[in-house]
Amino acid sequence: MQRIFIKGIKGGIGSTSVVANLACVLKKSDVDVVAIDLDVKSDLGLHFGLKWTATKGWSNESTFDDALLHFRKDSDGVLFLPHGDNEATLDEIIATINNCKKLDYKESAWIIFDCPSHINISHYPLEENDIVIELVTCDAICHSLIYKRLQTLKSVESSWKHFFVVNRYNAASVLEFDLFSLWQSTLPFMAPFFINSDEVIKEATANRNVALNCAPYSVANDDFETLAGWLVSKAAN
Amino acid sequence: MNNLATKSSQILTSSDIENLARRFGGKSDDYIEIMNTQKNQKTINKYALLKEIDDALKTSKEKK
Repeated sequence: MQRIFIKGIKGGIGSTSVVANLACVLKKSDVDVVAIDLDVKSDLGLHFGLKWTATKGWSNESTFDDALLHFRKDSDGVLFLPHGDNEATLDEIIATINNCKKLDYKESAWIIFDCPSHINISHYPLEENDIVIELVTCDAICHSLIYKRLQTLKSVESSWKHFFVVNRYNAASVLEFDLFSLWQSTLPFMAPFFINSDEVIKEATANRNVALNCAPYSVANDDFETLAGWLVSKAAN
Repeated sequence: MNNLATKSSQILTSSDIENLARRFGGKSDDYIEIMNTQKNQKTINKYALLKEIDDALKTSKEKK
C-alpha cells in the first residue's frame, strides 16, 4: 500500500481539496484508494458527499476497531474515514496512522492522509516508501516557510520522499511567475508542475463533488491527473 | 542526513531533468541543466523579503 501524506505548509492552502480530487483521479485507474482525514476541521467528508450533519469520525472512538465503523465509500468508490468532532492528540493521530497499516488492501492500493498544517510532518511515523507532499502557494510567506522547512529537514534523519507542490497557481500574476521560476531552478524537491487556481475546484465542492465529476475537461482536473501520474512515477522509483 | 542543500552552483540539476529522462529515456544522471543564476539573483533583488532571506542564508553559510 502506497502511503501519501498531504499537508499545507501553512493553513488555507487547499490540502483537503487536493486530497479529495487526487483520490478520485487515482480511483479512476481502478486501484483501491483510501483517504483518511487527520485534520480536526473534519471537512474531507464534505468533498465526498458526506452529510453536513454527520460529524462523527475516528476521533470519537477509543479503539481502531470502533473507528472502522466510520469508514464511508463515495460515489466514485473512494473509501474515506472522517476525523470526527473530537480534538485528537498527536499520539492519537500517530496511532490512527499506524492502525491504518492493518487495513487489508493490495500492494497497489493508495492511502492518502489529509494532514493538518500545524503539525510538523517529522512527528509522523514516516517510512522509507512514504511520499510527503507539502503544498505551497506562490507567495512570499511560503517562500520564507519553504526555506525554514529546508533547514529543519536538513537536520532530521529522514528517508521518506518529500516534495513541495504549488497549489492555486495564478498564471496572470508576475509575482507568482517570478517565484515559481525561482523555486524551480533553485529549490530541491519542488515538483515540476503546479495546480492552477481554478473556480471549478470551489464550484465542485459547493456541489458536493470533485472536479473530475463536475468538469472532467477542466484545467483543474488536468492538473490533478498530472499530479496523480507524477505520484505513480515517484512511487515506482 | 537528507541532501537538501539548495542549488547554488553554476551548473545545476533540477526536476526538469526528470521530464527529459522520461521523454527521451536514459538515467536522469545523464542530464544536466544550465541555469541563469543572474536571472534568479535579479528576481531575488526585486523583492525585499526574498532579498532579506537570501542575505540571511548567505551569512549563515559564511559563518559555517
